[in-house]
Amino acid sequence: MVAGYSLPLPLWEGVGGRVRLIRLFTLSPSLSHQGGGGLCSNAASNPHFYLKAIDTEKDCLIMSKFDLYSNGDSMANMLNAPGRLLAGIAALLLLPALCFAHVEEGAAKKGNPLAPSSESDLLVGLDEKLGATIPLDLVFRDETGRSRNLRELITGPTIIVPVYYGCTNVCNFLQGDLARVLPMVKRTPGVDYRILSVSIDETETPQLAAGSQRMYLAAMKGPFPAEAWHFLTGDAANIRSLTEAAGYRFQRRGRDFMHPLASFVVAGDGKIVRYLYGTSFLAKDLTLALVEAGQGKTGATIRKMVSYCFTFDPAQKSYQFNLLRVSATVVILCCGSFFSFLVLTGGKRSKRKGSGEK
Amino acid sequence: MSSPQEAVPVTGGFWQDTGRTGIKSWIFSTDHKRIGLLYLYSVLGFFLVGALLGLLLRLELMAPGRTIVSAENYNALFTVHGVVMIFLFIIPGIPASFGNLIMPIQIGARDVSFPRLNLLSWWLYAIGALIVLTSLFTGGGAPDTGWTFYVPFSARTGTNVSLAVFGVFVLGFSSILTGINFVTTIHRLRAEGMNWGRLPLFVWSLYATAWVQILATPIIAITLVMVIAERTLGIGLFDPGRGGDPIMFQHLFWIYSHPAVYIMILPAMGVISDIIPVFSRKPIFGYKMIAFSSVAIAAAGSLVWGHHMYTSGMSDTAVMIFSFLTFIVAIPSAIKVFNWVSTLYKGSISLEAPMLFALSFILLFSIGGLSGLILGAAATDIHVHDTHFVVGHFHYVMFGGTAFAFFAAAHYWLPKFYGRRYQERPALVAWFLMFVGFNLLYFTMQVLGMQGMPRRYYDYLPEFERLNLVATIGSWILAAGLILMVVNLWRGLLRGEPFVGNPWGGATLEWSIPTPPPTENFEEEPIVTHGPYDFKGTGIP
Repeated sequence: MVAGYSLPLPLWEGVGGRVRLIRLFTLSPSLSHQGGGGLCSNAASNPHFYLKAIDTEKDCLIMSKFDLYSNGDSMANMLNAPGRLLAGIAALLLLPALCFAHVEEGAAKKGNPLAPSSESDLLVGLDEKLGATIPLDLVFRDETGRSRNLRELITGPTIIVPVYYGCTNVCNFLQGDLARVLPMVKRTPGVDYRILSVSIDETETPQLAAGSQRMYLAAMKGPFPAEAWHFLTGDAANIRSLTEAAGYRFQRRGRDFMHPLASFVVAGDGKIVRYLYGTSFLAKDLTLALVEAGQGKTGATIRKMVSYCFTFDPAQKSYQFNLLRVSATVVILCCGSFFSFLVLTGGKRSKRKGSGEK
Repeated sequence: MSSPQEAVPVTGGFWQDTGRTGIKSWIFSTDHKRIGLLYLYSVLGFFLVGALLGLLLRLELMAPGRTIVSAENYNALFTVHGVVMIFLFIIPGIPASFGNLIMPIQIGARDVSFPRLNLLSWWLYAIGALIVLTSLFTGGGAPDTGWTFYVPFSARTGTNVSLAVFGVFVLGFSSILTGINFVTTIHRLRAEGMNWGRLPLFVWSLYATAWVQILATPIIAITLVMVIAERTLGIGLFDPGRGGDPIMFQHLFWIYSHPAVYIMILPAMGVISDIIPVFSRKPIFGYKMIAFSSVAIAAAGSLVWGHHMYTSGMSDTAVMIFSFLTFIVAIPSAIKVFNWVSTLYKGSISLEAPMLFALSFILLFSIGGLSGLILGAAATDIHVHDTHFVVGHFHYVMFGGTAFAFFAAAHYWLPKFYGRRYQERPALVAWFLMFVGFNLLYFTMQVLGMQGMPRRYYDYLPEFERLNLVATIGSWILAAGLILMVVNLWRGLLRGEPFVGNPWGGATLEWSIPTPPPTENFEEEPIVTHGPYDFKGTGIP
C-alpha cells in the first residue's frame, strides 16, 4: 500500500475479497513513494501506476501496470476515484494470463493445497538449493560482447540476478530496486561484492545488455563502478546449466518469460548462500547476505557479530533480529562471567568482622 | 490446644538479639535465620491457601455436573490453586525457607554473602504475592487461564491476567536474587576445611538449584512481559495473523517452567539426602554421585522443556530429541534413589517422623518419576496428554516429592531453631493419614486419566463418578493429616518438650552449635575436619 494512503474497504469487498492489494506505486521519480529509480524514460510526463496484489483464489502474486488517471490528476485524486481503480482491478482479474506471467515465490507454493496444479506451476518456480555450487566454467558474454567465464567474474560474494533485458515488467522493478538499494550497502562494490545480471533469453544481445547497464548505472544515486555490475547474455545451454544449478525454473511464453522473481547470492567459490525474493530489497538484507557469502574470508569482526544476531527467516524471506539468540547469549555470558569470577578470584574466604547490621 | 508444658516463649540465641522489637525485628532483619522463618511462614500460609483451593476443586469433582461452584469459578479455582502452589509455595518453598535457615550454618558461615539482598528478595516475594492476591479480587476477576497462562486465551480473556502475570514477574526477581546470593555464599563463605567434597548434600542441591534459578528465571520474566505487552498493546507477538506464533509462548514458558520443576525437586532431594543417613546411622552411600547427579539433573533438566508440547505441533525429530533427553534425566534421578536405598541397607534405621516423611518421599517420588517416563515417551504421552494422569503424575512429584520433603525438613530442623519439639505420636498419625490419603487421591487420579478423564474439566462422564468420589474422599483424609501435622508442629514448637543438643545424631555443622543458634551462628569460626555424614563421635551408638 502506498504510504500515507489507505483504500476504502468496500472497494475490496467489491471484488469479492479475491484480491489483496500489497502496494500501489509508480516508478516516476516525482510521484514515487518507494523512492524509486526513474526507470521509465517518459515516466515524468506520463506516469503509470503499478499494482502489486495477491489473487487469493489463485494464490499467486499479480502485478500490472495501469493508466489509472489522466493527465493532471493528482495521486490523491486518483485514490479518491475508487471506481476507476476498481475497474483496473476487475480488468486484472479478467486476465488470468497475467497471473502466471510472473510467479513470485514459486518455491513457497509447493505443497500448498490452494495452489493450482497447472502445468505452468511445475515448470516455473524455485527450489532453494542452499549450499549447492553453481558451475563456474560456464561462459557468458559481458555487455561489451567479450566472452568471459564465471570463474573470472565471481571472485567474491556475488549477487546473481536472472532477468531478461526485454522484460517490460517486473525485471525492471527487480533491477531498479537493486539500483536504489546498492548505494546504501555499506560495502565497496567491485571489491567486496559484485552483481551479475544474467539474461535468461538466449536471443538477447550484448548491445541490449549494454543499454540496460547504462540505464541502471545512470539511475543510481552516486557513482557506481561499471565493472561491479555486469550484464551478461549467453547461449541456451549455459543459461540452463546456471539456472538449473540454482533450482530456478522458467518458461518461455512467446516474447515473454514466466519466471520466479528472485535473485541469489553466491560466495567466491560459487556456493549458493542465500536467495533473495521479490522486487524490493532491504539494504540490511543485502548486506547481511553478502557478509554471509564472504564469511571466513575478510569479514570484519563487527560484521560477523551482526550476522550472528540476525538470522534469515524463511517465512518472512528477510533477515530478522534474533532476539532469542542474542538474549540467550547475553544471559549465558553474564552467568559464565559470574561463575568465572567466583572461581577465579579470591577462592579463600575473606575474614570478616561481621556480616552487616543485624 | 492444651499442653502439659507451660507456655514459655522461646528465648535465647537469635530470638533475643537486635535493637528492634516486634514485627520490625523480623521484616527488617538481615539475619538469615529470621529471613528463613519469614519465608517459612509465608510459604506455609500460601500452601494452606492452595490446599484449601485444592480441596474445593476435589469437592466440585466429587459428582458430575455442578456440585459447589460454577464452571467459570472452577476455572478460576484451578488457576489460582496452580499459581499459588507453584509460584508462592513450591518454587520458594525449600530453598528460600530451609535454604536460608540451614545452608549458611551447614557451610560454617555467619550469614549469607549479601544479607541485605536476602531481605530484599523476601520483600520482593511479599510484594509479588500481594500483587497476585490483589489480582484475584480486582479487575475482571481471578485469572482463568490455568497457571501456564497459555496464549491465545491468556491474551484475550477478560479476567485479571495482566496483574497476576506482573505479580509472578516480581516473584521471579526474588527467585533470581536468592539464587545469586546462594551461589556466592557457597563459593565464598565456606568455613576452613569445608571443601567441595565435604559440603552437605543439601547444600550441593541448593547450589545446583541456584544456578537454575539464575539461568532460567529471566526467560519467564521476558515471556510474561510479552504477555502483558500482548494484552495491553496488542503487538501480535503470539498472533499468527500478525506474524506471531502462539507456539513460541509455549516454548518460552516451558524453557523456564520445566527447569523450575527442578528448582522445586532438587532441594527436596537434598533434604532427603541429609535425613536418610542420620536416621540410618550410616554414612551416605555414593556421596560424590549424589552431588554430581544434582548438577546433572539441573543441566539435563534445562534441555527437556519440549516434552510438554508433544501435542502442540513440533517436528518428529524435535519430539524424539526431547523424548531422549527426558529419559536421560531419569538416570541421575535413579542414581539418587538407588543411593538412598543403598544407604538404608544394613543401616540401623530409626523410624521417627522426619525419616517416615523421607522414606515416603522415595516411594512417592519414584511413582511420580516413573509415570513421568510414560509422559516423556511421545507415543504414550499423546494418549494421556492433558488427562488426570498428568495431574496425578505431577502431584506425585511435587506434593509427594517436594512437599513431603518440606514436611520432613520441618520435623527435622525446626526444633533446632525453636529449642522445643513436637510430640512424636501425633506426628506419626499425621504422617500415616497423609500417606494414605495422598495415594488414595492421586493414584486414583492416574487411573482416571488412563481411562480418559481430561484435566481442567468441570464436568465428566458418569463412568468416572465412582473413582472421582474415591479421590475426593482421599483428599479429606489427606487434609485431616495435614491439619493434625500443622497443629502438632505449631503446638510443639511453641510449648513442647525442650529440644537440646543433638538428639538425632546429625554430623553436619548445625548440630554442633547451641540450640537455638546464636545470631552469628558460631562463636568462633569453625574448622571442619570431617565429612557431613561421618557419624563418629556424635554420641549415637
